[in-house]
Amino acid sequence: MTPTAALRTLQQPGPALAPRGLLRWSGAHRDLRIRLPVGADLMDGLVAALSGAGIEQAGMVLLGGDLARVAYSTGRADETGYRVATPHGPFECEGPLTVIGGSALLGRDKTGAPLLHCHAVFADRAGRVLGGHLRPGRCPLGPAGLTASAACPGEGGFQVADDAETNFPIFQLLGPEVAP
Amino acid sequence: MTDHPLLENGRAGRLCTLRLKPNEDLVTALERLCAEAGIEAAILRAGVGSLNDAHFDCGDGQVTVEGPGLEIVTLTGEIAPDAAGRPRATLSGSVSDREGAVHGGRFRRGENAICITLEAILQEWLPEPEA
Repeated sequence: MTPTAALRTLQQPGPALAPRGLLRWSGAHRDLRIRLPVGADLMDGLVAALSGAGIEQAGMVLLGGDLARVAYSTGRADETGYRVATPHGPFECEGPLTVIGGSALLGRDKTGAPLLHCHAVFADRAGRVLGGHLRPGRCPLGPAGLTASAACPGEGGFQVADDAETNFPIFQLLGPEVAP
Repeated sequence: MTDHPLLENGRAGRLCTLRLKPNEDLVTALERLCAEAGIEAAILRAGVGSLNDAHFDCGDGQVTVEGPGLEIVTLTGEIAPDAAGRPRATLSGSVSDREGAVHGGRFRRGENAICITLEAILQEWLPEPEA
């Protein structure tokens, strides 16, 4: 497709690596509804709940809940040029906060340990809506706990590796090549 | 679009994991991946990533949020075949700016370049023929 005037592309620090998009089929999968109680940490709680069930890979939608507190980061331009964008923050908000939505992917870090990448939106008591990249261990849940739905690939998934194009360690795909 | 409700019988099919790389358009790159994989219809089950800038349709207006590094904080939507049978993505959601303020709407086609990555899980939707 020809880029429109509105599609601003940015020069990444490394070479543009082909292919520009990847897709892998999963095998048989599981669907789960997850309930975390008050006091659990949003990210650590999701990881523990899934790992305890032997699940290493999952995609989740946050359906709702409360946060007693939250720590999150956002993104901003990296003035050093090392990366196109770099984390900004972290910012902290005291609750009570209401979780409006969000999404999370459970995969593995470089060593094979579980890693959750979670972005979420929440509202404070004044109705101000904020969001960003959540920090593990720093997002205790409030009275309503948290509900999420999970789709868990039976094979394949995500594992972190250093990415030469962006200079970030990011999730890369596991599993067999796309098979139409 | 019809002027009466449509109920489509079907079932959820296989899952797939996917990733889009920097400067790819969120909407059209997803459509291209689906076309290459033979996916005609699907539902987005999870998606996390970032954009260079965000361009939304909001009601009868349009909103632009300047990045880079806008975090995609919610992402929902589906792939459905267009009149020619090609997979067409309709994606809505929200992004947070550097101060954490959230902006949202329907992502405009060809105008939302991935910043660092998009990681997502799709699930096929398999419509059943009408009896």
